[in-house]
Amino acid sequence: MESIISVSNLKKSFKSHAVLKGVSFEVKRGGIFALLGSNGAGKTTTINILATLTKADGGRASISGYDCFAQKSSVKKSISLTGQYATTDGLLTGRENLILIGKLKNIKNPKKTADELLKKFNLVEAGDKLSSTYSGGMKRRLDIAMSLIGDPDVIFLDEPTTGLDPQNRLAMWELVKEMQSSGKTIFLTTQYLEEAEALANYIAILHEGKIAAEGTAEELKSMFPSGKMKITFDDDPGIIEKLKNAGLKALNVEQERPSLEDVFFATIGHEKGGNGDV
Amino acid sequence: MFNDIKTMFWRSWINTLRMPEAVAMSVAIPAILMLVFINVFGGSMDVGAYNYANFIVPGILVNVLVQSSSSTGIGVNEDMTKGIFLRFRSMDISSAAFLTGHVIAAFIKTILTTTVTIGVALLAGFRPTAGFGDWLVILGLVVLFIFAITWFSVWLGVVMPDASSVSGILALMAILVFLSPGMAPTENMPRFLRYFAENQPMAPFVNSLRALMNNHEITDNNLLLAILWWGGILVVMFVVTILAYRKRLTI
Repeated sequence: MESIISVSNLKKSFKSHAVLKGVSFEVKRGGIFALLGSNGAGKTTTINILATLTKADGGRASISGYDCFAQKSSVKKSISLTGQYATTDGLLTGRENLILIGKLKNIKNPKKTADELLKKFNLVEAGDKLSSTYSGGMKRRLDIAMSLIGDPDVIFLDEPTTGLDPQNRLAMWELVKEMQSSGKTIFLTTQYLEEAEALANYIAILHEGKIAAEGTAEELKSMFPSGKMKITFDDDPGIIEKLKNAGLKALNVEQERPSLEDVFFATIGHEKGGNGDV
Repeated sequence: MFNDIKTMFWRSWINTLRMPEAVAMSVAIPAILMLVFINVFGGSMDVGAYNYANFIVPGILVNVLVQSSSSTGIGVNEDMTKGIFLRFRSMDISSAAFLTGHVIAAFIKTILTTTVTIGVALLAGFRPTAGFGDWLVILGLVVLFIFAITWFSVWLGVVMPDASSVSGILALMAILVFLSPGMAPTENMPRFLRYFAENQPMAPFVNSLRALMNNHEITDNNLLLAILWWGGILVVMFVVTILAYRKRLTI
């Protein structure tokens, strides 16, 4: 499959603090790409550069063939961005929020589109209430609905499930999968390993300003073969033999594969359970 | 671009209507002030050729115009510190539309609050003798003042860290009208204060409105000074606001 997003050697510093030190990756059209990293790893900065909101200090980035630095207007037309915090207008109703975006995207019938999206996202009843009164899960649904208006190629979701309860998180996962099956390319950032594993076709781990590892969840795991066990005892006849003689039988012998979590911590070089940030 | 402005205005206008208490306060405070001044101080105030209501209406108007602009700067500030602004920035829309939408909504709201204030003034004894031409000039001056003070408010909204700093500074601005010929004659003020009161930008504006409303001659180039001051403030505030806003669009 062809790449819809190409990023090469992206660099960005805020004052003297280098956030991105040469980030490169490709995102395939129609897939779910997860940029995985701890707080402050530079995930949001990467999204902001791709969405043309932040100027990079160096490198190249393009979306749908448009240069993110030189063809901002075309890039903006082919994407939508849902931020970490609700990107809705609290003083407007859910319906009005959808109509607002529809009008700004110059779509043909904003009201009809709003009605359809309210139905699709199970917000019909709440449609005429101010969006500031919505629960966290409803706000996210409205947010995603707003992102779909104007048929963007790429949908950026910056930590789409941060702050959601487990039930709403699962519902969001379903939504993301559904968007992908309708042909969208999803670019999401997350600090949750299980989220990247459950959703993404391709995962890139961003750590200390670089992509520390990338691949499918399976590929990432196979990079770290583990489970080999070597036990040496000073007693020659062999422990297995002794166990057998003692009447113990092994029912099943299995090599344990590393979890994505093991991979993540191995990659970033921290001890598992270190600061609990991931 | 025109469509974007129209849409942003529609949004800002709905936002304005959803905060009726802000609109009500911007009318109520000056109206109460006016009634207190006319009924409590009016009797003991010597304002020369005027009845006190006729004297104080221009000062009250300035107060209304400043108060009314406050919610616009607050709105801009709150928008820009919230998620919806991220969405706007990530969309291919005219970068001027967001601010212009706010300013047009503010203009219409302020025209309405001004009309209500004039209505209250008429009930309280305001008896203008201005002719049709005078009223047109008054309207022109008020429109100029509204745009100038609204862009000032929007500028605060763009550069201030939070909404309460915006409203705090504008509350101070609304008090400045007391240090002008707006509420009381300046003759009895201490020398320094009197100098400030007679030369600050609100002074020629108030003097012009008062002369026009009461069919008096406008003296000392007051009309020209009012136009220069507020026209100048409008241009400067417009330019610095656009520059500050552009900076906020890319971080």
